[in-house]
Amino acid sequence: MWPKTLVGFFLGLLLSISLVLNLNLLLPLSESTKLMIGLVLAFPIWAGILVWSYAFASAKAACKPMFAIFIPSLLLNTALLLIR
Amino acid sequence: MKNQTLKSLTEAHAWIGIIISTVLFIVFIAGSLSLFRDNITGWERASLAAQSGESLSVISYDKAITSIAQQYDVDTHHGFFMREPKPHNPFIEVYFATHLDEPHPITGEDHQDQHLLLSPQTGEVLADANRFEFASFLYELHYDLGLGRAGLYFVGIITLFFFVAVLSGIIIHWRKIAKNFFQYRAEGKKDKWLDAHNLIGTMGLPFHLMYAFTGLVFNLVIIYQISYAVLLYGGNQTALLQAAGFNEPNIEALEQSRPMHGVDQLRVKALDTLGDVSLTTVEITHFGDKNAVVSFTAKSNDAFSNYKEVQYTLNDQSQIYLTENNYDNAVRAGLSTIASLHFGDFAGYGMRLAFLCLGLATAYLIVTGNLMWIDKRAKQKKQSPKTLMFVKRLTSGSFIGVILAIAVGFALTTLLPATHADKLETVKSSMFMAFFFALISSQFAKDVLSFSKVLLGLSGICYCLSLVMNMAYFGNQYSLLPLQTKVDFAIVIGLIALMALICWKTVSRINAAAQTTSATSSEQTSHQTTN
Repeated sequence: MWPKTLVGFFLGLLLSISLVLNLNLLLPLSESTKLMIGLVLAFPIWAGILVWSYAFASAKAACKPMFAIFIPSLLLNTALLLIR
Repeated sequence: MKNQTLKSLTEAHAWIGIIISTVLFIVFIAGSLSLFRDNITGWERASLAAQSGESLSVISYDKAITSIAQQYDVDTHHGFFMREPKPHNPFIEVYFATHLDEPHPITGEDHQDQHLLLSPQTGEVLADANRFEFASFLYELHYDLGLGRAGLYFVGIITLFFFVAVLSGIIIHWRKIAKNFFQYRAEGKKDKWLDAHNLIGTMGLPFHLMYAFTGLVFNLVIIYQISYAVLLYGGNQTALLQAAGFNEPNIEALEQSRPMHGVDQLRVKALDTLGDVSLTTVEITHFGDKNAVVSFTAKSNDAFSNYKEVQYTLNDQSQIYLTENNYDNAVRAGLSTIASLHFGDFAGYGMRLAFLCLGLATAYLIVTGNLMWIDKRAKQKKQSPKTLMFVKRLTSGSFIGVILAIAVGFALTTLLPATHADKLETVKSSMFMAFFFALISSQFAKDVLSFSKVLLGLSGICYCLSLVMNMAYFGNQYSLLPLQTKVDFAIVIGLIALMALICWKTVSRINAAAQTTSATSSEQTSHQTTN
């Protein structure tokens, strides 16, 4: 159970930051609204990913789909930050 | 959903529950009682309120400041913070630091923090406020276990896993969530804990989700604050705070001294500017300096209200900041609503009472979770008896230890006189000792149920002792106490009585369960003999 916890905890944190950052850079809303949306979504995303990691049979199995989301999200972060 | 996925999630739900249960139990019990923090504060300070007979018709901050400046060597490089007197707390409560020539022998700092209660009319120093801080300590237990910043983040992580437990619980029960909504099978051992767990979990679901989310915002927002500041604002924390609506001006000290007069005039001006509000705090930045700034913070008298703030320079009494442009800022307003939701302060005592019931029910939910885990594991042949006994003893020692510690806290706060030099420290250390005594001694208990009964009995005695003493004091001092303090007293007596009742009912249930078990086993024995 500990390996799944560690994967969900750290990848969940990174994914929540990355996904919320993309939303912040993409949404055509006021700065404070985007910050608040980020704050409201970040914790449920983090907790949701932790739940997702527990749904897998092993930590290794949980890593694959999570990285499959995290890497494109990270690339999008980089692109959006560069063109900002 | 695949059966394997549900199995993994059920295992994770139980595992997380066992790991976070003790801390979460402390958080929910202390938090439920802290919903009445203002009332507990009013109850603690009742003797002082009765003696001083303070009225709130006149409030003079200038007299309070003069009194402090005459008696203390105020360290001008630290904040000077005053709370507006309220019916619960009819004193000006002041926080500041005094300058020390030699470093403090314990902290090593060049200043010492002060926390005083002053008369709002005469400015006279009435008492050291730290002697009346049991309510604040209970609240600290709720958000940081009394362990400071490290405790704050630790409770934050526990809250994250509570959120995970709630979400996984929803997924596990999703298919039967409506069908089994009202199911509580009082007969039969197997499903009683499960039914109670599911019933409270389902009925309290919006409450649990709200508490998990808002608690996370309070304790772990720093993570996203840092990442936003680094990624979006190039590491500029001030720019982030400005975007979030916290854009107060920054005025540097001139390093020229000036007497601190004129706060009362500014208070009248602030009340006029802010409209229908209740003032909460007055803060002086650069105390004693020519560039001193006075900030008035207030809460508007609406249900989900924002905090409003106005700032003036003390020297020329000019307004330099008002929460006007940023009043509708999404982050500022959102955080205010999150705080109101968490504290249940948006709909009077009725809402707080509902939150108290839900909070205590959640504590029961945590207990049932552990009991189910124990029942389930006891039936598994592979389960190590030592581990099972450890969890049994831990459940008994830690959960009842929290009840005992709070009982000791209430009893000592009642028993120790306000003149006792280290009253709060004595109360705090006694509470920690009571908890650790229960926790450690439980590991040596041969019969866990009997041990639980003894601990619950001890807790019940402490609550009853507090109850009797408080009722006697309340009866004697009734005519001398201000109206709000009478209400505070009645509420605290009600809370102590409720905790005593919980102890008594739990002991009764343990007795009933023991009788049922012995009746069943003797029935089985006689059946076997007949055969």
